[in-house]
Amino acid sequence: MSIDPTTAQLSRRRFVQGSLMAALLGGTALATSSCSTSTAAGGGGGAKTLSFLSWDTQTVMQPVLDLFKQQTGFDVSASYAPPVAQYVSTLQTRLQSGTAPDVFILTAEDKQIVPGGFVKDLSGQSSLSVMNSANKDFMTVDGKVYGLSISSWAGGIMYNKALLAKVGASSLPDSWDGFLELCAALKAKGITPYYDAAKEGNFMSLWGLLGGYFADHGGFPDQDIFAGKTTFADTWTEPFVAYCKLYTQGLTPQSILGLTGDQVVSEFANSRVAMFGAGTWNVPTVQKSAPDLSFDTGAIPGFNKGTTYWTGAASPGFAVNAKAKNPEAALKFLEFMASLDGAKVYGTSSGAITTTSNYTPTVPAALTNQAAGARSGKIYLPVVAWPRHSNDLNTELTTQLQQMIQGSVKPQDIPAALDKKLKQLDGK
Amino acid sequence: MATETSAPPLVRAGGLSAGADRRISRHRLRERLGTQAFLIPITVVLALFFLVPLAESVYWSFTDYSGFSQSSHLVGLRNYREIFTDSEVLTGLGFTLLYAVATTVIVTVIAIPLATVLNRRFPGRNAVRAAFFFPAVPSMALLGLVWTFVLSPLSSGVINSVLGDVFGVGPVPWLSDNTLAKVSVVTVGVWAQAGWHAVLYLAYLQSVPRDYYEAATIDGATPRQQFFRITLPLLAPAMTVSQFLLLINGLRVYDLPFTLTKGGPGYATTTFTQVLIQRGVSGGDYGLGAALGVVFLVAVAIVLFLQLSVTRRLERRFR
Repeated sequence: MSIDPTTAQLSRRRFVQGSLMAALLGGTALATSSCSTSTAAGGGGGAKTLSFLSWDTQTVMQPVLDLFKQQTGFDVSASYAPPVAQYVSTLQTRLQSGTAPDVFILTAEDKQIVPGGFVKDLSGQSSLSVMNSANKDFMTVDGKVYGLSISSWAGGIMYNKALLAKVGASSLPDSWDGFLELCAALKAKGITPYYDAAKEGNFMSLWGLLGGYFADHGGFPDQDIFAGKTTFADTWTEPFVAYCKLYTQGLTPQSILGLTGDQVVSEFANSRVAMFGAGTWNVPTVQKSAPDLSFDTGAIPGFNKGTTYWTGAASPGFAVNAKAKNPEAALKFLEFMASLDGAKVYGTSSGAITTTSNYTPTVPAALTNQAAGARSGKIYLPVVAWPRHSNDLNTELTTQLQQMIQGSVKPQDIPAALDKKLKQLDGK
Repeated sequence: MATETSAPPLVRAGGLSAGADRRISRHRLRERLGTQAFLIPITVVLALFFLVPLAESVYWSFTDYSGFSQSSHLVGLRNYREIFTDSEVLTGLGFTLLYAVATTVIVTVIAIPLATVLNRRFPGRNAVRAAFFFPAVPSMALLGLVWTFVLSPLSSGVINSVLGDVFGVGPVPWLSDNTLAKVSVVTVGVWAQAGWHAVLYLAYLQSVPRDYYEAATIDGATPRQQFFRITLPLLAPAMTVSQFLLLINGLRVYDLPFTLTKGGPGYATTTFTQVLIQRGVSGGDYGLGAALGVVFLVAVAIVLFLQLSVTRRLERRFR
C-alpha cells in the first residue's frame, strides 16, 4: 500500500495548523473565560441593579434581597463567599482587580482595606442613626463610620443546673474568684468543672473577663496599645493571670487542648462537664442533643465582685464600595437594612440577634440572657477590637495559651509576648 | 511493463541530489514540528498556570504587598530574612520535614512486607486487599476529623475507652501533648497511606517471574534470603515511585494535621503549608506568603532531587 505524499503532507500541515489553532483557541478561551468570570463577579450592570457580596448564605440572604427588591425596585446581583478567610480573600481579590461589588461585608479581619481607600465613609448617613453604640464603635475607623452593623452575638458560660445543684449552686457566681471556688467544689465532687474550646483558640470566658475588667478599670485599652501609649503587659496581666488559674490550679484539664468545639458541646450535652464557654449558636445544638437537659447561660463573672460581662462582638457590617457602580442603590440597600422591615427579615432569616433601636427581636427562651447581653452592648472580643494584625496576634495568643496550659509558658509572660509580636509585626 | 521516467536521478555520485536533500530535510522538519505540536497545548497550560504565577510569586516575594492597600513597595530580601528568623516558620518547616521523612520511611517499611503477604494465596485475599486500600479513598481532611474522635484525649475517646476498660489505663493525652500529638499525626498519616503503597508494590511484585523463586528454592535459599536477594532488588523501581509520592505528599501536607490538631498544641504540629496559608493569605501578608512559596518550591525541589538521585543509584546497583 502506498501513501500519496501530497495527501500526507497536507494532512501533516493541516494537523500542525490545526494544533496551533487549537492551542490559540484554547488560550483565547481560557483568557476569555477568566475575563467573563471577572465580569460576572463584578455583578450585573444597569442602573437598577445592585451588586452585593455576602458572607451569609443564599438561604439567609434571599428573603432579605427579595423584600429589598419588592420595596425599592432594585435588582440585586448577589455573590456569596463563606467566612472568614475565604470571604476576606475573595473580597481582596475583587477589590484589587476592580471587580468589587457595590455593597460588601466589612469585618474585623478585612478592616485594613479602609485605609486603602476602598470603602466609602458613611458618617452622617441617616441609616446609621438606629445603630447600637457597640456596633457603631466596631465600624468606626479614625472617627469615621464605614459600615452598618445591625446585629451582635454574645457568649457566656452555659451550665448544667443538675450538676451545679450537687454542690449547692443554682446559678453562676458574680465574681471570678467565686467562679474558681465553684469549679473547685465541682472537682472535689468528681465532676469536671469547665471547658473552653482551647484547641480552636476559643477561650470564651477569658474575653468576657477581660472586657469586664477593662470596663471597671478606665476603659478598653486596645486603641492605646496599638498607638504605643500602653502595652498588653501593663493592661492585661492582672485579669489574664486570674483566668489562667483555671489551668494553673488544675480546675480545667490539659486534655481540652485536644478537643474541638463540637466535642466540648457533646461532653456538656452528655453531662460529662458542668460548664463550658458557649455562644448563641451552641444553644440549638445542646437542645437537640439533650432535649431533657436543664441548662442556662450566664454572663462571665467579673474580676471585681458584682460585675459581669459578656464575650461577644458586633456582627460584620454592610459597607459601600468607594468606587461603587451604583452608589444610589448601595445607600438605598443600607437604608433598607436599617429599617424595621430590613432588621426584622434579616433577624428572622439568619437567627441573628438584631440590635437596632427600631426593632426588638423575639428570641427563644433559652437565648433570652444572651440576647439581652448582646443588645446591652456589654460585650468584648479583643480580636475585633484590634485595629491591625488581628489574625497574627490571635494566632500568637492562642499558641501561647496552649503552651501555658501545657505548663511550658508562665501566664504573666503571655501579655509581654503579645507586645513583642506586635512590635515585630509593626516593624515590618 | 517497464515505465520510463523523466524525473531527475535521486542519487548523484557521492550522495543525494541537492533537491532531494532539501526535500528530506523539509520532510524531517515537518515531522518534528508535527510531533512537537502535541506539546503546544500542555505548554500553554503550563505557562498560564505555572510559569506565569511562579514568576509573579517571585516578584511579589520582594514586595510588602498586603492585599489591603492599592500600592506595594519593593523591600528587597526582607521577607526572606523573616522566614529564616521566625520561630513559627522554622517550627513549621521542622515538623513538615519530620512528617515527610517519618511517613516515607515507616510506610515503606510496612508496605513492602504487607505487599508480599497480600501476594500470597489465602482465603478472602481480595477482601483483605480492599480493606488495606480503603483508607486511601477518603480525603485526608475527613480522616483527620474522624481520628479526632478516635484519639480524643478524654476518657470517652475511642482508644482511651478501650485502654481504660480493658487495661485500666488512665486517659492518654494523644492530641494534647506535644510529643504525642506529633506521633498521632504521623501514625494517622502512615495508616492512611500504607495500604495504597502496598498495592503499588503488589503490582510490581506480580510482574516478578515465579521462576526466580523456584530456582532459588532449588538452590536452597531460605525465604528470608529470597526476600532480600530477589524481592527487594526487583522492587527498587517501585520504591523510587512510592517514595517520590510519599515525600511530595509529606512535604505539602496540610489537611491532616490541620483537621486533627489545628497545628497545635502550640506550634507542635504546625506545617509549612499551614504557616503559608495563615500568614500569607489569612494574615494578608502576601509578600511573605509569596516568599514562603518560593522557599518551599526550592526546598521541595532539593529534597526530591536528592531522593531521586539516591533511589536511582540503588536501582542501578540492583540491576
